[in-house]
Amino acid sequence: MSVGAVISVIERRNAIPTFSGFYVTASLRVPDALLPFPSSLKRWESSADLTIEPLGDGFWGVFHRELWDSTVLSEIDYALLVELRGNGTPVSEQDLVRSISRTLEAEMDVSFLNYCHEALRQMKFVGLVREVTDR
Amino acid sequence: MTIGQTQLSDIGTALRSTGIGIRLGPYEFCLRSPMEEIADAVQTLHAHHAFRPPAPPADFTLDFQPERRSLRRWVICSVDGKIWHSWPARLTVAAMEWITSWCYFRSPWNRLAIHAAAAVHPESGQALVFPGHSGAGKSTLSSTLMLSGWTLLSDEISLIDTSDLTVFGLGRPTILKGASLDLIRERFLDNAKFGPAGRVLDPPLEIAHLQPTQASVQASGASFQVGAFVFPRRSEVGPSKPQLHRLAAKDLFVSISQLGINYRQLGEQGFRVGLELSQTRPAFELHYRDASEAEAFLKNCPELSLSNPSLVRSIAPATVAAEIVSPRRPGDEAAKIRPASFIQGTGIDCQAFDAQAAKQLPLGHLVAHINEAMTMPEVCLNWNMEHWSRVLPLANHMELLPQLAAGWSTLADQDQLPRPVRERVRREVHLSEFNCASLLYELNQVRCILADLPSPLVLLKGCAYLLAEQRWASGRRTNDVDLLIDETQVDAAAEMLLANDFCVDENLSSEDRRYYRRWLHELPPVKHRHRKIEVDLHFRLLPVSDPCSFETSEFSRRSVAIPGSGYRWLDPIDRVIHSCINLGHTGEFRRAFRDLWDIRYMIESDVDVPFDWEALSERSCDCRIECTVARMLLLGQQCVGLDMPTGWCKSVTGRTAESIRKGRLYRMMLAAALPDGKVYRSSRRRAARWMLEHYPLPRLRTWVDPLTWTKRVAFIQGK
Repeated sequence: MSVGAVISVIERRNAIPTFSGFYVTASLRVPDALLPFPSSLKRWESSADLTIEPLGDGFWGVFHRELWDSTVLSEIDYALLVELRGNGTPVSEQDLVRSISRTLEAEMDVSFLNYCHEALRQMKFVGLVREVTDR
Repeated sequence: MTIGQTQLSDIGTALRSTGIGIRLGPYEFCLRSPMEEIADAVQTLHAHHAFRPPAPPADFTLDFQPERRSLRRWVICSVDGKIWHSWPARLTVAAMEWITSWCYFRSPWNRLAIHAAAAVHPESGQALVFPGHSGAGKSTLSSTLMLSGWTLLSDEISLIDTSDLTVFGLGRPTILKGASLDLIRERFLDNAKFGPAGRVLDPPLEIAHLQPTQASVQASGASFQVGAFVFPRRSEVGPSKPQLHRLAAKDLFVSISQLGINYRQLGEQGFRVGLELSQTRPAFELHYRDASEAEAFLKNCPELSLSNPSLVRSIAPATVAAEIVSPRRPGDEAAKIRPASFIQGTGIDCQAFDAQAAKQLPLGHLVAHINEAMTMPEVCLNWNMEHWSRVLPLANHMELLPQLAAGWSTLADQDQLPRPVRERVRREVHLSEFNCASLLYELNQVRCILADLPSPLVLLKGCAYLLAEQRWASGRRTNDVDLLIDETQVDAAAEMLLANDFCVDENLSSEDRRYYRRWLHELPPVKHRHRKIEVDLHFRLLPVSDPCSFETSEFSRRSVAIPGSGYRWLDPIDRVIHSCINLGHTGEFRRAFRDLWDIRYMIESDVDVPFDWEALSERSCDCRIECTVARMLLLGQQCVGLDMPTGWCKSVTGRTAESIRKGRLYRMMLAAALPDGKVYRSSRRRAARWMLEHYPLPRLRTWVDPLTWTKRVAFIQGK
């Protein structure tokens, strides 16, 4: 599978009440430039209490039961999350990406690595995964 | 008789006295105001509603009071006794609508409020929902639909029932401004009736409200099946003929979660509703140039007009989607009935209520009843509707309603509560659950981030009570995480948070930040960029600039672990000291009762271990804050019936309790704490609160101290 110039679809809702009491919205994008491959000391885990439901067309809706918030995941995001949750213990980013590239039959090229790195960062941002640093 | 048929003077009189009751969708609103602009607007914009007093207790009591600030007229808007916002008087009518929208956005616990217009399709009888942010073209399109004969359900909020996914008719005016206003005026001439116009300055635009048609008002409270979601995409360079583009389910889900203003607050219920709507309802983008063309297109569009017949139903009398999840009970063992002294001897009899008596009951007596309900929730079973309609806004104003609701929700015979009260209790309990769940999550995140910090993480105030599962604090809400960190470690803690997606308000300059660090007791608040939770890192309990400020290393050393949490909290004596100085020196006296109840419970809730008054005396004197502590405890005795040992004040401060009570500062604090006057803000109370919040008397010493000025000059010079 080729990921090409993908955009992560983890959407966020900023709870910023504006003048008239409404909310503003922002979404995150994968930067074009090559991201540095993460340090091998960093590993990822996911123990959040989640409800995951298919939305169709290769997308999943995720409800975070502790935070009371939800996100939308694409196929790759979903594969990363499921892989992490299936493992139960922290996994290094290289092992994780390698494993899901096999599952999705995707090529381990720069765009794929960048996408996975950014997806993990964004999933950390919205509380779906946690970064574990060895000391 | 309708409001439109009523004399303006009669409307004005009703608004000034009992208020006017208007049912907008599933909610009863009570409008009150002495302002002529409001009376004028109500007469025009709600002309088709019946002219009647509010049905007690209203779901929302809206009050609009005029005020002068620097010779300019302002309008102060409050919801259920709490000031929500103030605007220049030129925006009075707009404010009335904004504040109403706020009620829909923030309060429903079993209805999803989406930022969207909705109208009933004339062919299918089903509702089309038009989601979009401000400026998307919703108002122009919905006004055009309504004036072309459609039944408009709402202009900017679509209220979706989570139990059956139907959308409510709200029967509200439509807000129009600038070019949209001109367009509708020009196109529909006298058919479009507008309320008093106002103007916004940035950008400079005229703003006015369009009266809803009779059909739209008649649909208020009824609910309709959602036929489809149509996202308006108006553009001057759009296609020559309107076009409809189908959207994927995930796009609809994302939009619902982003435009659903109370989406997150609804929890899993909101997620399920979003999921079901996105999987069962078609969604389209409507590209068009002109609203009238879009109206004609929508009316004849086969994809939208061939839906199933609508299912119209009236409001179910008392059905709710979910059951109350009972929170922890307040400590029964601490429930000693001890009336506060300011109403002692007045012979209050909660059993003997009648509507007339309830209407005339002074505020002091209502406060006494709220106090009584704090320790004995079951006393409320004797209250009549009139009494409830006065107690609920007052308790909300005093910030005690969430705790009261937590108590009421545990009553075995809560079915005896009036239906609107049960609804309100459920709403409050739900909001407290949301607050509790998100704070526990945030506390866990912050603990992980600060795990490497050598300093103990000492939680202060609300979060500490929550994490330590204090039964008396059940339902109590808090908005931020307050942490006391060793002064030498506080900068490192801030760095750790900043490295993990927290950020400082970008409006704060580096000088502001330096000011916080040098003169205050906490660093500038940091907020998570996504979740918006605020973390306040304290290195002292009082600002450095406060003459009574002291080092807190002893407080940290004495702090007690909260089992299984990784956090600590102050030891029982220090908790009382902190609550006292927090209210007395830096507090918000509007919610003084909540803080005074905290103090009372902290002192009295543990019946096995009597409170150590001697230790409190010693530590207060060591920190040179004995006067503040004594004042706050006396205030607690007078306002919430705190039990203090006789002679304690004299032994600690050298002054008798009577002498302290006669003091100017104490009297000012009492005036600031006690709700008084219209909307609980008499001029006396406002003056007292302003003095305490802006120029507390003890700080005058700081201003006249030459050493302080030397320090200030050095600070300005960057030394």
